[in-house]
Amino acid sequence: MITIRLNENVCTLEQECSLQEVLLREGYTNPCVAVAVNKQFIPRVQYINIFLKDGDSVEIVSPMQGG
Amino acid sequence: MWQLADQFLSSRLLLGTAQYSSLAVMKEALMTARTEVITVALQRQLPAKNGGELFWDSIKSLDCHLLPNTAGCRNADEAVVTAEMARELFATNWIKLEVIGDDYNLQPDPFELVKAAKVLIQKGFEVFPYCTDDLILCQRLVDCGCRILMPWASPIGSGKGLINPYALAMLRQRFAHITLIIDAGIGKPSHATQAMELGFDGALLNTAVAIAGDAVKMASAFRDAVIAGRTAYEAGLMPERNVAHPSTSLLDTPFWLQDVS
Repeated sequence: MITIRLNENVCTLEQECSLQEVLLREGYTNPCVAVAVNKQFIPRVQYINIFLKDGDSVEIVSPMQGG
Repeated sequence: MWQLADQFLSSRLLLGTAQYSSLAVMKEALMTARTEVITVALQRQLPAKNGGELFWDSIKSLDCHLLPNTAGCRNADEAVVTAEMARELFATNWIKLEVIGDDYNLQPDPFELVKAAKVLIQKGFEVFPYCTDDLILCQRLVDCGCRILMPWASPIGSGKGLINPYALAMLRQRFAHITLIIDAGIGKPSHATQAMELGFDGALLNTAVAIAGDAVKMASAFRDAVIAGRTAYEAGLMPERNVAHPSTSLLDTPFWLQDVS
C-alpha cells in the first residue's frame, strides 16, 4: 500500500500506479487539467510514463477566472 | 494597431475575468470593452466540480488572447511550475508573472520575480511581469529578457490610481522601447487615461469593471478612457506651466492699454 496526496487530499493505492491510471481512478476525467507531481510540471504526454510512489504529492489544476 | 509581444492588436485595454457577478455579465463586459487580451488563472480541481469547464467554454467563445497569471505564488519555483501548467492548459507561452511578497498590500517580491523571469524566459515564455514602479527592478527584468513590463499603479484591488506618477513617467522615459502596461490599482477610467497620457502602451485592470454597479457600462467607460488617453499622448500634451497665459491674445482687444498709467 502506498499513500499519495491529490490536491492535498490523502489517497491510498494498493501499488505504484501510473499518473494516468490514478487520474482516471480518482475521477479526473476532464481533459482541461494540468498536473504537477512533487512541484514538478508533468506534460500530458508523460502521464502514462510517470509512476507515483509513496509520499508523492500531485497538484491538478484547471482554468479559473483571474485578474 | 499596436504590437504586444508577437501579436498585433487594436485595443489597448486588457481585462481580467474575475469577480464578475456572473459569467454572462463577464462576457458582455469583455465584449463591450472590445478587449482582445484577457487574464485567466489556475485553480485546484476537484473531480466532482468539473472545475473550470463552464468558464473555459465561456472564454473560448470570446476569441481573445489569453494571458494566464501565476496568482498565489510566493516564490520563483512555484511561479515557474504554475507557468508551465498554464502553458499546457491554455496553449500559450504568455504568462503574467506574479510573485507576491507581502500579504497586506500584495506587493511583488522583486528578488523572486527576477529569478522566475530569468528561468521562464530561458524556457521560452513571453513574460509579462507584474512589478512595482521601481526603476532598478524594471531594469533587472529588462536585463534578463523581458520585453514587457507591467508596473502597478497602486496595490491590487485598491482602486487608488497612480500613486507615483513621477516614477511611472520615469519608466516611460527610460524604457522607450519596452512595452509598458499599467497593471493593478486602477479604480476609475480617469486613472487609465492618466497612465495612457504618460505614454503607457496599455492598461490592465479587473476589479474596477467587475465590481462596478453596472459592469458592462463601466467596461465601455474604460474602453473610451484608454482610447482618449492614448490619443492625447499621440497628439502631444501641452507642457505644464507655472504662470498663467491668456488663451485669447490681448493685443488690440477693446480697451487695450487704456488703463496703463
